[in-house]
Amino acid sequence: MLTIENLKVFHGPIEAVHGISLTVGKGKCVSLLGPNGAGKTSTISAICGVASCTGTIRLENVDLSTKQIEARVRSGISVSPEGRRVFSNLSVEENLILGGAIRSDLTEVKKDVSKWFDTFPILGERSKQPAGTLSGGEQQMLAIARALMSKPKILLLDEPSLGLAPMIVGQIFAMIKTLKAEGMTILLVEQNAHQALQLSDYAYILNNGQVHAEGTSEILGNSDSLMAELTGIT
Amino acid sequence: MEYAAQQTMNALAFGAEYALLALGLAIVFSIMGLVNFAHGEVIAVGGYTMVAFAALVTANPLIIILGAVGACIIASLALERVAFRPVRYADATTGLLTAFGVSMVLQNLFLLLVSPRPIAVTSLYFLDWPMEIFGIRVSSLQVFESVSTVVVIMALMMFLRRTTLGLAMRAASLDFEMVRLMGIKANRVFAMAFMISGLLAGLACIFIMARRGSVDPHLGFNPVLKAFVACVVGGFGSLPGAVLGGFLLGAVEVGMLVLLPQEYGGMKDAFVFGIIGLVLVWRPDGILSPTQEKGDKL
Amino acid sequence: MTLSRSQKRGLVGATLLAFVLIAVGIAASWFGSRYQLRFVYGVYVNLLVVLGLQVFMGNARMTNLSHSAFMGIGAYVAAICVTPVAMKSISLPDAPWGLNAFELPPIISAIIAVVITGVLAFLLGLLIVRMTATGATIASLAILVIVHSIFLFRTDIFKGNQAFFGIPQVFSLTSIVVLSVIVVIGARIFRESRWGIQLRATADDEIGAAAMGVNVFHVRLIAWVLSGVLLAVAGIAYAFYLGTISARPFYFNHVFLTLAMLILGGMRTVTGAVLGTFLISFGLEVVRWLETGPTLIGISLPEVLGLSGITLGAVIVLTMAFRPLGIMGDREIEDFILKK
Repeated sequence: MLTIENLKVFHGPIEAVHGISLTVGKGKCVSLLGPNGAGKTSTISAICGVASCTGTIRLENVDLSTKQIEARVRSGISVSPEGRRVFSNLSVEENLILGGAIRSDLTEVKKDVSKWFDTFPILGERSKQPAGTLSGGEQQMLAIARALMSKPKILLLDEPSLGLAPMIVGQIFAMIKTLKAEGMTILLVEQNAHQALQLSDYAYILNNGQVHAEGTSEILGNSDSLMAELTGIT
Repeated sequence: MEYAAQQTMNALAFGAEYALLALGLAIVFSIMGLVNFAHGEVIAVGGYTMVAFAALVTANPLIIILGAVGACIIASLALERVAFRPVRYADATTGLLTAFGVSMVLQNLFLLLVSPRPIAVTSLYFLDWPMEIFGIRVSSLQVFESVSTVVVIMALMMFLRRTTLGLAMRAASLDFEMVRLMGIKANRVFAMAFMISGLLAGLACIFIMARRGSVDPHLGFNPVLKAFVACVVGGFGSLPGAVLGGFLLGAVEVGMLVLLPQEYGGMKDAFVFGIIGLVLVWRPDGILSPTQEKGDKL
Repeated sequence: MTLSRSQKRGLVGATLLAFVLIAVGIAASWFGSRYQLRFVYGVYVNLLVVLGLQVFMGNARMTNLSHSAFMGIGAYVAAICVTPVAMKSISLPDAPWGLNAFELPPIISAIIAVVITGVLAFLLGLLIVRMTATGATIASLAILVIVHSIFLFRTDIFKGNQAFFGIPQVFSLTSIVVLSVIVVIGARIFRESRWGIQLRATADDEIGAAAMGVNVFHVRLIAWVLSGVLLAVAGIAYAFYLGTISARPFYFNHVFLTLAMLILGGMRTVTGAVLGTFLISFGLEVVRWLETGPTLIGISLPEVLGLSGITLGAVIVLTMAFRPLGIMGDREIEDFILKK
């Protein structure tokens, strides 16, 4: 579904990612792991079109590199970004409606919004509240739901567990698991390697802007040295 | 009693006009951080269009009004496309200075291409006649102004709450990049903001022209200054703040007119600014200033 | 006192600029007609203003629109102090607080003007330096309008738009050339001083600079007050040459003229300030000559002719669009001569 070849990402004059390649198959969940500063978020930014980069980015064989941010979203990319970035001055409901902005049928969009309220009653309870008043975990749920409103082909999740209490993290990952079960293609960026590996079919370990290792979750999970490196626990 | 009611009407009408003007500034500022000092020149464009229409096309006041409002919208959109797009993502200083530069260019273009002298606009005099409401004599123009401002504000509120683009505009004032990540084209958001700004300018233009009866190259200076002050008081970037600031400014101005003894009449502006200054000392960011997000909520 | 590398370069640069200023001054006094002499004087007054602007705006990267107001305050205070009683009894018959009953020597008047403007700048600065860049700009605009209104409406003190005349004309071209050399050197010293460098750090990254121990408000306030003082000096130089002042020059037109000068030259450097001032001043003269309209003294921007206004506006817009850092960008004059 998503193919990236020789991606180099730049922040101004600084090269943050030094030519990585990765693939996300349709319906698969692929993790991008690694310590802070490895280049994970830079990769996501490059896919979205926010950061400047060189290399090839192809979504279902459509070359994205010439497209602006908005066009990439219309091509089927959707992101729950690092820090969630919900629109804090808009209500929960309004956030979700904006998520479906590229769809033409407003009534269908509103139906989907109601569906999300059924699936996550807490969002429904807070539907008229400004999104900025939600807790971190609720905002993360909102960010993911909002990203899905556009009915994307691939969902990019950037550090969904960041800053959340362990119990909430569990809920978020349960949500992601459900999405995967429903056939959503997911690219997951995480520092929480353990939980991410449990979910994913395949993983890439990034370090210093390069792919350090890659493989299926079993292989990576069974490699004690890798896990120690990732989790810092020997 | 009648006097008090008349002055209240006065304050309302002035406040309405300032609110319209301030909203025009605030809408653009809330989205791109640009203080559009060329807003006054957009109004002047409307005025000159009225002159042109009256002389060349028709004397039909309705068409003249529509033409003026249309011209303001087109002028506003043109400014965005030509002058402000290159500095769209630049810092606030760059945008502000560009707006000033544009304002100067336009003012002098009017001077050069049309005339340095005021030109009469008589087509709108019919809007101004004495009326009686509940037995109190007021000017019809004031009634029109107040009513249409309220209508416009309500329409704007509905737009910003009920339409996707409106939601996008509100979101854009906080996180423009994220709005783009929803697939909403940046160009559309900006164009809509300037279009609304132009519409508000056009409406204000009608009332200014109806009252003044003439247009000159520096017409835009005073309105934009009032709009600016209203926005500062209400909280720059906040739309409700702009409205509040506008009505407050109108109230203070009329209040000064009423309360100051005759000899000090010329000092009215100084007193108005003094009161504004006090408001700013109490609330340096304006009364309803939008909360500045200073960090990440993680 | 050992100087850092950039400070040594700064001295070289300041000296070079000083030569330029002196050379232009000499050329004008030798070859210039009376009108041209006045014009060049005006250029140097604007130079002082632009330098004052550069000290704060160029180093702190916060747009300031109140500079013409401070210039006006300096000019009026000095004018009121120095004008002979005989003159004041005619021009300010209703002046309160006995303002028309005394006169002071020019130097004392100048000092008083500088002190009062400095104190005012300090008080206002306390509010301004805490604001965000946009907030500060808006506040500075408010200051401009408020000060102007006060000038216009306390006509018993300021005479509003009417000419406040009778100021003894104690300045000449020589005096202002000397003054501008001093100010150029001072501005350059400030830029490379500890405060100047700290201030520029806050402009690039406010939070980072604060994290490194820079007292952001402190350095901004220093620059703001210094700027106010320089602007007062400019106002005094203006008043002491022309002999008459009014409220009109200290308002929007002048704000834009000087702003355009700083922007075109490049606000980050003192060289930029000088370059921009000369370019626009002489450039505008050419434009006006092209218009062959009525000639005016070099200081007030003509309000009737359209072409110069269009040129000025276009300069601002085009510079902002294509070269926001101005012609000099980050470079000072010595960067052309010394190796990096």
